[in-house]
This record gives sequence, structure tokens and C-alpha cells, in this order.
Amino acid sequence: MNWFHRILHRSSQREDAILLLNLRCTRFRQLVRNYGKILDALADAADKQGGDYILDRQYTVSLSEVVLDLTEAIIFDLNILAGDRYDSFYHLLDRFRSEVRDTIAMENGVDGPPSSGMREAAKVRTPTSTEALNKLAKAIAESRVLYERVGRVACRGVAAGPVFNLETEDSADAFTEGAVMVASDIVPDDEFIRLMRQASAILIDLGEPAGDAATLAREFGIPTIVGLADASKRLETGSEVTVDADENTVYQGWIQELLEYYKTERLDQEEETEYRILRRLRRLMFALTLEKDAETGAELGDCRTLHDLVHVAHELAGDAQFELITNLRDFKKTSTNLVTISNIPFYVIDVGGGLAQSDRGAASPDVTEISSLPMRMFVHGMDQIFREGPQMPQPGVLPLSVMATVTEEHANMIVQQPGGFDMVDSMIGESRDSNHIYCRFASTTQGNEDKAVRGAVACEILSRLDFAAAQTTRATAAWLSGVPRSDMEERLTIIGRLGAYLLEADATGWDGTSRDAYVNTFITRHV
Amino acid sequence: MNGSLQIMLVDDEPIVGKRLKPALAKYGLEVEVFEDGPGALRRLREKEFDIVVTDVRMEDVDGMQVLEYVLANSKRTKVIIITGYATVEVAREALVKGAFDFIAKPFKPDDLRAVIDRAAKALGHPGIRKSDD
Repeated sequence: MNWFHRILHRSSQREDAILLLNLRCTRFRQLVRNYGKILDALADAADKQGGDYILDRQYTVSLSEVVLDLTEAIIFDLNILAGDRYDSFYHLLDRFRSEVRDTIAMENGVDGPPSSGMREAAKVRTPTSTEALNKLAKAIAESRVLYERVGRVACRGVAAGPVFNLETEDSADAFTEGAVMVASDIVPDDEFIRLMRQASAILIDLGEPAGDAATLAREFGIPTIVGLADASKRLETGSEVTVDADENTVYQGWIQELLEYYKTERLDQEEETEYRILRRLRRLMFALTLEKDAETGAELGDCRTLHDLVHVAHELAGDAQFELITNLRDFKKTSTNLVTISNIPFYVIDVGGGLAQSDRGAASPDVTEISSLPMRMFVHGMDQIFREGPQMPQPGVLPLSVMATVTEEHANMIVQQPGGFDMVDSMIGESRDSNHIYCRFASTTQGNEDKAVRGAVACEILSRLDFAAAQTTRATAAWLSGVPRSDMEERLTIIGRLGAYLLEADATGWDGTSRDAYVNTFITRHV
Repeated sequence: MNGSLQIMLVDDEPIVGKRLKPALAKYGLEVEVFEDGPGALRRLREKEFDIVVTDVRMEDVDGMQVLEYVLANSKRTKVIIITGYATVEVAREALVKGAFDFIAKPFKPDDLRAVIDRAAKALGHPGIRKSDD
């Protein structure tokens, strides 16, 4: 990093330094975009694992190769950002690559495509009872559909039973074997697991196929649909429903014909090689197992999955970016623009159209002169919270500053706070394909005894905002892309509010027992 | 045209037939599944189907050959092409040749039903979607 610092101090080469900084930011942006694509792939694979898709082997092969290629690109970019300090990451990647390919080859060998001689015999016979099929089609056509493709399938299967709505019942004592469990949200504690094992099906308002409850549902093979939004408000205890999680549909009443049909005609998910391969690959590649101390962060030796490796690599790249920016402390006095918002100093380095004022290094610009759209939205959100709050941030109470490297459509913002730093990297333009928000929030703050509460709160909120999020004891990282400009602006304003909300809680101290309260307060007041 | 739609499904991935047959049959469609192109061609010589759904990439006889056979021998039969994860370009070629539509794996049964529904209506059949009943 010293080379970079030296260049910055040579006034004659300041423009070159700006160019280099721009290149570094572009490289980092590329890295987080690839990291985001992996998080998207993770969410997509969890969605597919739910079981309501027709998969083929090519899907799992392509998925794994795409993720391996993205990982290699991330390691390459990390080494450029951090001066080739992480060559050893390639060796671990090679090991994972071999394991992934072996897994696919092994499963294909166990249950490969039938030989041509077997194929004729393997032909699936036509139904013998047209009458039964007609009866089934009639029963489905006459049934009232309560939900059709509203939520997301977490575990395939079909079941019917009386609803037991956990939100409206004071006690779960009356929960009976075979009931359809309905809930707003799920905390997979012992009581939930006990009830879950008795349920014939599960319907949840919130949640994702990659979430804990969904994972448990698959583990137990219970037909489950998550993300139904209002099931706990619509479905009364005692009413009967038929849950067809193969089709992501919930019918009113008990459709015996459907249950009978599936009993004879459908395969269990575990009988399907494609799903078995996908499950193994997801364990090998996508589990996040890092549990290291928040202060030191995880290291290469702690990586047991590809996701671990990618997560560590992207965190180290973020650290390198932070190191670079904080090394600009002297530089910022002369070549950055100071914008003070809610008493917080924003040091802005404009590398191309990020400030309306063209004369970089001149007198402090006003907030209205920020022409970088992502920065303007973030600042706007942050300012809203601090203006509404009990008091504006005071030096010494929230000893922070924000370093922003901006262009008209892009901003990389690093919020320095007592326990480390938060970071937002965002591109917002007319092309939705190139739009993204990446954010990283430290899991803890200085002196905080409730380990990782901050990160857990951020992770839950970001998940509810449709970000693909991953949390370790060190930081929560989240990603959103492919969203139209107006939606991106709104989301980034909310991220600004979230950043300020976390900083306010840092100042007052976190209560480790109130995670849900922090999340609900933010969602209710600020989303 | 109000009788049961006669569907032929051709895919050498056994999972596709095993999953799709019940997903289509439960809406009243009569489905015959084949896991190889030659078997499908033999059956096509015996019976005219309303709709043929075929994977594009198979050994021996691929989906394009199935498409060409149908186009040459049954003008009313609609052909829907299933493509693999990365063979969308081939599907476009099939459309140019005369396929009714294509669908890319991975997909949900309801996605295919929607395409079959449109093909059925193009044949003068009332269709299969509940919402249209």
C-alpha cells in the first residue's frame, strides 16, 4: 500500500492517483459483484432444493462450475487488491474443485442414465384408470384455491389436515399429530422441532427456502411452503386444507383424490438422483461454517466449504479496501471534499461526476451538490434517522466518519465506527442488470459483550428486504442486484437508515436478548 | 375439440418423465412418456398426438429429429421443446424450424402446463388452466 500512498503525496501525480483509486474501486466492485452472484446462486439452489422444479443433471453441473469459476475470479481480484498475499487460496480452491467434481461423478455412477437397452423397459406406463384421473381432475377443478404460487416451496410433498395456527392459539398443547402447522415466522427451537415432527405440512408467512426452518423441514421431509405473507391471518385453527407443495398450491378442504394419486404416482425426493446430487453439492459448497472470534476473523485454515473460502476472500478484500481508504487520511485534506451531514463528516473523493462541483478540493460542498445517486440515497436515509432521533450524533458519542469514493452512478462508502467499519458499495443506473447494492455490517461493536447481535439484526433485516445475506461472527454481508433504478433508490435509502439505526444502537449499547425487538422496531418504523 | 389432450413426453432424463407425468395427468391430460428418441418415433408412426413435448438433447435421435418427423407427418401436432441449462440457442433454432414454443430447465410443472395450455388453445381445445375454466 505504501506505493499508493507515495503517489498520492506527489501533487504532480494526483490525477494519476485518482485514476488508480478509480481502478481499485472498479476491481473491488467486480469482486463484490462476483461474490453477490455466488449468494444468488446459493439462494437459487436452495429454491431448487425445495423440490417443485424439474431438475436435470446439467443444472447441478453448470451450477457447480459457475460457482467454481466465480470463486477463482474472486481470489484473483483479492490478490490484485491485496498485493498477491493470498496465493494459497488457489490451492484450497483446487481441492474443493476436485471434491465437487468427484461428488457429481460418484452420484452419476450410482444412478446414471439408463443404457439404450434398458430404456424401452423403463418407459413409464400410461395410467390404467382414466376414470380415476378424470375424478382427480374434476376434484381439483372444483376445489377452492387458497394460495397458488404465492410463497416458495421449502420442501416438496402433499398432505392434508386440520390447521393449527400457532399465532392465534395460546398454547400448543392441543397440537395434534397430522395437523397443518401455520405460523407467522419460525424460530427453530426445541418446542418448534417437537411440533414440526408431528405436523403433516407447514405454512409460514415469512422465511426463505435457505432459512433454518426450511432446512429442518427438508431434513424431516415435511411438505412446507414459506413466504405466504398472510397464512397466519387467513387460516383458522380447525379448518381443513390440502397442501400441494409439489405445485406450490394450498386448497381449501381435504382432497382425498389428490392424496391417493400422489401416494401411487409420485417419487419421494430422495429417490431422485438430481436432488441427492444437489443436496450433497449444497453441503459441500454453500454451507457457511465460519465460527471464529470476531476480533481476529476467520482464516484460510478455517474454511471447510467453498462458501467459507469465498466469504473469507471477500472480507479480506474489504479489509484491503478499508486499509487503502484510511491511508488517505492526509490526502483527504487536500483532494477530498468534506460534506457534513447530521454532524457526520463525509470525506468524498470524486473520481468521475460524483459531485456537481467540478473543482475538487475546493471549499466544502453542500449536500445538494452530491450528484452521485447511490451516495445521495444513502446519505438521505442516514440523515432521516439522525434527524428523527433523540439527538444528533455528537463527536465523542459516535466518533465516526464516512469515506466515500464516488462517480455519478457508483459509490463505495466506508463508515468508520468504534468497533471497525461498515461498508456499502452500490451502482445505480438505468440498466437494471448492472445495478447492485453490496453492504457489510460489522457483527459487533467495541465493548459489546453480546457477540454478533448487531450482525444478526442486520442480517435478519436485510433478508426481509430480499437481500441475499450471510452472517459470521465478524460481519454480515448482503447483496441485491438486478432491480430497477427506482427500487434501488428506495432500498439504498433504507440501507442508509439501517446504517444509522445500527450506529444509534452502538451508542446506547446492544441488548443481546432483544434481537427480534430491534428487527421489528426497524421494520415497523423505517421500512 | 373437447376430449382429453393426448400428450407425448420425450426426455432421456428419467426424472423429467417421472415428475411431469403425474403433474400433467392430474389435470386430465393423457400422457405417454418415452426416454429415448427411437421409441418415440416408433410410437409416432402408430398414433397422432395433440402435443409432443421433447427434450432437445438426446442420444441416437435428438429433439430436433423428433420435431422434423412431427412436422413432416402431422401438421396439427404442436411440438414444445425442452432445453437444458445452456442450450437456449438450440431452442431458438427449433422455433425457426416450426416448434410451437420452448421451455428451459430447470422449470416448474406449472410453467410447462402454461405452454401446453396455449398449444391446446391453438388447436381449438378449451385448455387446461383452472383459471380459464
